[in-house]
Amino acid sequence: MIEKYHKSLTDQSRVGFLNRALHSLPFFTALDFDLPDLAIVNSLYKAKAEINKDFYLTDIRSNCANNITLDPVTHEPRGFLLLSLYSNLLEKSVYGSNLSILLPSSNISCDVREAGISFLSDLQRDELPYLIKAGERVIAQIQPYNPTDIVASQISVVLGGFSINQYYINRVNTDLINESLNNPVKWQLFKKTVNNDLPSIDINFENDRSPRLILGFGIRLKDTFSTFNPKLIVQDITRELKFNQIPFYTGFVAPKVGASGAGTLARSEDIHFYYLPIEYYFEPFARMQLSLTDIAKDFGDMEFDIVMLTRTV
Amino acid sequence: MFPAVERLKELLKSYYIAKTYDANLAQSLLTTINDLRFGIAIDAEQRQIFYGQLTIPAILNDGGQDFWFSKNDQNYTLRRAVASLDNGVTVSLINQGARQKIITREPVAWQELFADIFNRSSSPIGQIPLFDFPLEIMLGENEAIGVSLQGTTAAGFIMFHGSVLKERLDTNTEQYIKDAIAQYLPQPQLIPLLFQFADGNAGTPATNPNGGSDILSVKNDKDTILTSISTTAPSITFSLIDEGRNQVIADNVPIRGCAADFSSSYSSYFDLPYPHLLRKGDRLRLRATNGNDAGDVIQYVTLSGFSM
Repeated sequence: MIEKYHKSLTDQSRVGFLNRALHSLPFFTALDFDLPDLAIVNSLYKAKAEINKDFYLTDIRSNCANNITLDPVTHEPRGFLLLSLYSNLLEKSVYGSNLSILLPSSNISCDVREAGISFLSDLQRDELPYLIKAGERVIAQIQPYNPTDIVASQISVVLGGFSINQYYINRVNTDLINESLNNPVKWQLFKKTVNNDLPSIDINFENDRSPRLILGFGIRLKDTFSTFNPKLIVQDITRELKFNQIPFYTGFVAPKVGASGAGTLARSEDIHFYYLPIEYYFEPFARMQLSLTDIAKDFGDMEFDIVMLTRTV
Repeated sequence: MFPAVERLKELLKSYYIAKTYDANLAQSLLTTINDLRFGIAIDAEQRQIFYGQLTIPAILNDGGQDFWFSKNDQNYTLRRAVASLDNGVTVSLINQGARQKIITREPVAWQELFADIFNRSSSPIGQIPLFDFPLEIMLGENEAIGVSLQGTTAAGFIMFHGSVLKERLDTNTEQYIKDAIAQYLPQPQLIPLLFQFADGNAGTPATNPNGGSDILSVKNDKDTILTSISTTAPSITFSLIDEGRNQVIADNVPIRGCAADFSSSYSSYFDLPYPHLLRKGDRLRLRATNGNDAGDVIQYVTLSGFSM
């Protein structure tokens, strides 16, 4: 376990993590593909994204596995997708290899799994930062490996990382930060339970007087409904900052942990949190809002917990 | 992942951010980063990683079998072991030689010492993640690791992940690494090796996608520290050679003891025994023999790491 998540943070490292949280913003963007039914082998599908600010890429996630059928006996994949990812300005692959080489998606991205998918890891795999400059486009290509096993689906490749964002600290914040630094670190989980059947909902996490760092998010499902995957935008209402401009599936920000067994979205033995690419400064009395849209209405008793992991600075 | 590499990631994040608001802090972070990179690179240069296999034969009415593993006349360390053995087998481990040390007081279930990949290709839950020995086992040139097994009936193997320690570095290596570090900051790197089999039968040799016998990675344009390995062909027996350093990393061993199945639900990469330095301009060579993976499709062995 590395220091930033460890309980024995030193005073010096606490100040270090606070400093970088005050000058950066976690950011996510998505590249979406509409894959047709029985997509033709060797056909290439492309998606582009422009971020419009210097962006340090650290974390690539996809749901490339989710719509490929499994062998009924071994439950192993009968097909998979090849993926490549490069930026257009320098025409350089983000993982250093030759641009033209497509690799199995799990070699490049961590897979965010759906119901019944028992293969491909949904562990988080943080990489060294890769700078994508403002004005540069990121281009992703996918290629079906086995066309008979692809069903019509939307594939997303979500790029996680951070951008530079200066925070102008006021006197109240300074006093409260100094007070917090004089006391031991306290971890705290924020939780909201949602139980309704509306197509969209805003979930708010409100801070008290303690300045905190947001470390990550998780979702715990109360039932084994398999179609739960609303879209999500995370924003700090107080600081007017968004973690993502384009809504994408909740599974990319928070692993969905359910009971073990067939039909669940993820197994309880999987990880419970996705950590943010960089810590986010959650100022005193601020409000984080998670806006969920496209909530399907056909999964019966919809009840779930959304959890936000924080610690004091 | 290796703790030094995790630390490097966090320091790099801090450096990129500090550059925008505090030049002195950024400079101090850069110095720390470069010291850490130098340490990782020297360690990777000084070690020659290997995968060593003990083949366990199938016997009936087993009353116990003894094996030993050694890297003859060289000092070496073992970081972990991976095994494919019968469920009920027990194991005793001993460091044989001048400094004989008993590692297990009593025979213990092999799953307590070695990572279990027995069911990895047939089970829907994939592979168990690798775990290391509590401390690496250091062995001298006149020492071997002794393994006694009881209860084996089916054939299997034990794969040791370790490194041979070079006695001394080349005189200009230190300067070479310092020069490389000064040129750029680390970025993620993937080194893929592509190959295929003419058919899905056991024993079919691999060819490159054009049908030739040389399976090589693209020549590296930067010095690269390799940290982990993955494959789409989990049944193969493979050899992996760093041509620039003339180093055999794996010699005709089952890949499932070394590389993660790309589709595993636990982890699509396994850590290498230790980080490996692939120098600028060097390349890796792969040789492989099919077990039962599909023929006539491109297969991959992918190594992951970062530019030094």
